Amino acid sequence: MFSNVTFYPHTTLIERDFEPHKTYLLMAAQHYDTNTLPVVSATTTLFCITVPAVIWKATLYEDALICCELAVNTRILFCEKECDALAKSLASCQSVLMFVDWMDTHIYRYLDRLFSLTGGDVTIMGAGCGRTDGKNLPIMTCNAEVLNGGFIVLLSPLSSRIGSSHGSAFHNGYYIAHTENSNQIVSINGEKAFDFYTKMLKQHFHEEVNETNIFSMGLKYPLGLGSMGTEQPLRVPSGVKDGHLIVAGPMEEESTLCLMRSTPQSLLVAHSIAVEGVRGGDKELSTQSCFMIECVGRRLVLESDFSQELEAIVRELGDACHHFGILSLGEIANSADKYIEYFNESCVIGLLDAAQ
Amino acid sequence: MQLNEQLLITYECVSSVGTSLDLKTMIEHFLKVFSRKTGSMASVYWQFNPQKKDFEPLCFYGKRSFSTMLVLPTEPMENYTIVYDAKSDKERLHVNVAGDWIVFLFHAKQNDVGFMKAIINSFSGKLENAIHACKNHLELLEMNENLAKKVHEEVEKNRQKDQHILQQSRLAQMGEMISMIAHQWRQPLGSISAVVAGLKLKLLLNRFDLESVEGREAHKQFTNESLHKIEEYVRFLTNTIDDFRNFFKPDKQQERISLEKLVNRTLEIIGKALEINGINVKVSVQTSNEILTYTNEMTQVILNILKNAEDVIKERNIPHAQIGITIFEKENEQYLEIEDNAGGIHEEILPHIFEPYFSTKQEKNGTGLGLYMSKIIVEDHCQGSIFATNTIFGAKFSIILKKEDA
Repeated sequence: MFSNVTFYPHTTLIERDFEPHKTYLLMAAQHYDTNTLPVVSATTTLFCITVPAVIWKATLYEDALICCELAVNTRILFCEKECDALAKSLASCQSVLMFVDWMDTHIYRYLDRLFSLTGGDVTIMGAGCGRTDGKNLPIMTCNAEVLNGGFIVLLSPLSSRIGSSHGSAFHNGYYIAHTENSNQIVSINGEKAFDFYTKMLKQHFHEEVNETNIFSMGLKYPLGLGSMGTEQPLRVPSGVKDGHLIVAGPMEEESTLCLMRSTPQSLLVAHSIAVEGVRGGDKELSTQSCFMIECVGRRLVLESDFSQELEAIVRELGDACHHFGILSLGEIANSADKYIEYFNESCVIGLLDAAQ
Repeated sequence: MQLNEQLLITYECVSSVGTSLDLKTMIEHFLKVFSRKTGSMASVYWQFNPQKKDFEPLCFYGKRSFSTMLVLPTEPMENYTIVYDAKSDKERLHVNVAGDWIVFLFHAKQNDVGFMKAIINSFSGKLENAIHACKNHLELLEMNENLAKKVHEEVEKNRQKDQHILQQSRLAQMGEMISMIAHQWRQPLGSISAVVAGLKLKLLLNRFDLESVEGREAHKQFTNESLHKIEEYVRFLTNTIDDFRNFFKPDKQQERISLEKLVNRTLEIIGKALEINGINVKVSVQTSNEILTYTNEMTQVILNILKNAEDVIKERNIPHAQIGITIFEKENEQYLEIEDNAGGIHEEILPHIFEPYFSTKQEKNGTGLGLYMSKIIVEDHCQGSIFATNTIFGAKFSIILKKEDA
């Protein structure tokens, strides 16, 4: 997928960092000033996404940038709602990497379309991009042009492997939720969603929730979507609006929810599951790139243990592998063995261009 | 925990059933929710087509590359059957509902398909009812569409019938017009004939001494006077033709005119015929305010009523025959009343006189369309009203038209 990956800590990129006739994906941490990106030649394409932080080896950076030069066989596209361009480009695709604005209300629509059009053995991984500092700056751009109302997708003809897990555990439920605009829970069990959530946290954990601490509380006590399988997709409450809960991800209009609990101990287990998933029983891995998508919430819950998680991943997958990644606001991981979903608080590990 | 999961997934799937009366929309939504909740990678709804006696895919959801695996049962099977495909290591769940088949595809290792079967079985009744409701709704829509088509056809037939009636009415009116022209022309033609006869007679009897200057002068004067008279009569004949020709032109635009002028214009056409038949016409005008109306069409209406009165008067040999025309204004309306003294209309036929093809004078070429057309003109074209009543002397027709500023 990537032929060359370069890390730029606090550095301003200049024009000669980019070659003509090549395409780059820049993953910028939110405190990296993307306004300093150089004007490149007309034949160079620069896609840029902004995320809360980037990961280089086992370290997290909030003001750095990772520049990925796309391999010749990899295509990158910005797809709008109907994804017409995508449909034409999927013939020989084996791996998909997808980036979407985490506040976009059409995420399920994009996922449905992407899943529908990709082949039966394609792996899809991806992330919700965005900022946590509240600044209203572009999230996705292409040669400085702002990209809205769609998603960036990279298509590679080479296979990849993915493993993912969140580690959050079921605590109480289930409840019936009514939603609006995809990511707003209006009511739960007939009560205003925020009132219900506040009541449940007080009752079960003696925690006081308010509009200021909602995100940190939401990370510790996320909501789980009712579904079959080993782990329920999570929806982390991240804000309050008119008594509605804003969650980090899409939901159907009628959903069942449960109260989950994320502890440092439970989350730390997740990375091992993700590593096991991506290894698939192989001791030797023939890949050079390990791309990590770590939910921003994991860092906030794990605090200092988060660096241990990154170090453990690097250690367990081997130093020969090139480790890099991003902190995300929502994760996508699908190996075509079940229907595609959007996750929260997950650790997703992808071995890019790895043989099956 | 598993019971809990089953309940909640059942709840969400049940909620997704019956959200639309369009079968495709409803099933698409159901397949979407079911796939998201159970992990089904692809699903298809096979609908039975009774005309083709075969199943056709109505909608598909999930990975398109798996669509070829979502096949119909090749042999008879129970309504809820799981089929394992060893080659692809996938399981199909076949569900027969409302005579159609839904086929779901699962990854064999990742999913407990037996559990999914139990879930969908638990709300099969609702799913079946919802599908039947959609199908019934579609039938109803088709019936409504056919009904709408039929109504359209009938309306078209009626329109053609109306056009036919209008045409007949025009032909009838033309017949009456020719009769009226004949009346109008009889007197001037007679006069021309008399002048010519007088001229011929005087010439025959050598009443002029053409040898003398006085005789030649008298002859010249008499000839000039005769020719002048003939010229006057010819002008009258020409005017009569112009009046009728204008009358037959259809109005495209409304004109501002007083009812008095309309009545006078009509009397210019029919007045002579009435006079010849000894019918005295009295016009009483209480307002000269103008209204906005289709003048030729309204003339046709007045003419119809006057012609009917003339016919009845002649038929009943009414002595001292009279027609009274009154024009007055009340509030926002102007009234035109035409009353005769011919004894009135029989009470049993009074409610029917404005119906098409209703006539009391069939033997005398009555078409039964005159009053029907009059009603159409007054009520549909001019937004007014027309009705008939009996007075102690005869019949009275009242036309009510809105004033321009009303």
